[in-house]
Amino acid sequence: MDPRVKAASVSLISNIVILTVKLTVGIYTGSLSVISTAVDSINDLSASAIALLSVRAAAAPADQEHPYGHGKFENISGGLQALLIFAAALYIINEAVNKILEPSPIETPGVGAAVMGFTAIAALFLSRYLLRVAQQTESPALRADAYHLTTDVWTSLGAMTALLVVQVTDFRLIDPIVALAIAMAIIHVAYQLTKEAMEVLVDVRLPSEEITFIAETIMKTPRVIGYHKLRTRKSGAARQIDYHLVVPPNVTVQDAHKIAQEIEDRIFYRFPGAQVVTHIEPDTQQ
Amino acid sequence: MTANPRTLAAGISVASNTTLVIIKLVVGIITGSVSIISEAVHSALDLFAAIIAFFSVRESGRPADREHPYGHGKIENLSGAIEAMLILLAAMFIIHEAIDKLKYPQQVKNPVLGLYVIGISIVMNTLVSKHLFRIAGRTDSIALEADAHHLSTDVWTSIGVFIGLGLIRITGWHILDPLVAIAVALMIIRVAFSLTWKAAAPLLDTKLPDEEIGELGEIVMNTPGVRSYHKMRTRKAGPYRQVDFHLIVPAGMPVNEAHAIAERIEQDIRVRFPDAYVVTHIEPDNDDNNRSSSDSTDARPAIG
Repeated sequence: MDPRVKAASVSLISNIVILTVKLTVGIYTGSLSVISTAVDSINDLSASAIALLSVRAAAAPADQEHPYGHGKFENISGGLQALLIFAAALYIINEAVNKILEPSPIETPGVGAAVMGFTAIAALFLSRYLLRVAQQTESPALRADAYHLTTDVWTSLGAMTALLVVQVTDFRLIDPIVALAIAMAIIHVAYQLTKEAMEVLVDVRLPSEEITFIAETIMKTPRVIGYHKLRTRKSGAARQIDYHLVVPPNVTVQDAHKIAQEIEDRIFYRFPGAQVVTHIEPDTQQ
Repeated sequence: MTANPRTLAAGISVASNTTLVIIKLVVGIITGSVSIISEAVHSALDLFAAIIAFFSVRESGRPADREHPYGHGKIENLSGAIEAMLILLAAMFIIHEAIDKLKYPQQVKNPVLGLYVIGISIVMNTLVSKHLFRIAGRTDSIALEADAHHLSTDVWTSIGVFIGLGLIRITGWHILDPLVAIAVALMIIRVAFSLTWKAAAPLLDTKLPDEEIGELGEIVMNTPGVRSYHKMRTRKAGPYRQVDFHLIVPAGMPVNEAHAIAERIEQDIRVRFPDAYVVTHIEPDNDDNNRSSSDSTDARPAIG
């Protein structure tokens, strides 16, 4: 199984478990506040479902319909997940403002804190695992899911702390104040993820270090006179590269193609999955 | 900014929506009519969408640069998709309002001034959206097309209000107003979905239409000196087409000759598709030599 698909499936299943635990505990203890945190879990569940669908789509090889592969499905999914994180933050703000305007007694803070603690730990392990796989596979969809779960860790820890403080001091306003602060941090994460997704979707270039590596690889290949019009972009994990390669004008097509092949192989060795198109051009100075 | 028809059209849309917001606000405040003020809010949403379209056509017209080596065409696709989401949002808002009216029926107030305002709105939006559709078709601009759809869904909404009010006059059934609104909203949702699809497909690097790929293949094969071609990949970014393919020529041909053939093909393609950017990968015909077979049947992950 594709490691991305496996990780996304683990995330989906974990989110289902977390949701089930919250609902069970909430219904069993009759705690409305616990049940209301189940809303977060539904948001998480949607995000991980989107991530799973997109990594499955992205794993398919290039075909007639999508000749450059399906990597951009992951970038779209990253953008949609970022929107869901925004939605989660807005929901938190709305709840917090309501609590400030109409303070309501917090029932069963002990149970609430326990559920929040459980969620925080589960989300922490899950997000670290996802982030690791996301880095190994360069998967933007998994990365977005990992960040989503990281924001859950903050939310749950914040809610747990607030509940414990309330139990000790009865300072109820702490809950919405902490929630608002966390919502701001979450919005920052959502903004970053949206920006990244949009940049890749509009075909922004690769990072400078990678472009430098590609340029150096081209120039240190024997018989290369020069290169120009190097264009780079990314689609999911795959890099798309094309450039004009300048060789002596009397070289045969056969030999020029070998030079190009050598360059393409070297780039591919450094960036597995890269798709390189070389346009061979004669040196007009000669 | 001069003479770019896309920027001009988007600018007209910004201007007309600004005018509508001002008219509706002024009339709404003078008459104290909440419904006209809520119409102003609606036009403000249109204005927001028009501004997105304006900036995206301006950006997408800029040539490729260091940061965006493939040009800025996809900004239009992104803006088209965002616009489609705004249309969807407007439709949901209409449905939400209509359900409220179904639950808590209220007498439909029928200020004549309000009808005039809606009338002006219909006329202006019809004219501007027709103009936008025309320029969008001519310049192949998905951002303008999205804005045109947005304005035309507004026209339907306004006409729906008129029909609803007219039917209430005749029948006296106040329930008709929300029902007509829901019907219009469902039509709008359909437009929003097909627009999302159309705008977002190029974001996924979907191929060009089959007819265009067929034409490209013919242009390649009709060029003298060409043996064949393969691995043709096509995609679109805003109005710009991106094409690459492997061109097969005799193995012993000097590079300058092969390059001349490639240039010729690229020029011919640009005659047919002026906005196309073509990258030709020249490949030796394997049948020409028996000494090496490591060539185009390569194990590289290129796809085709």
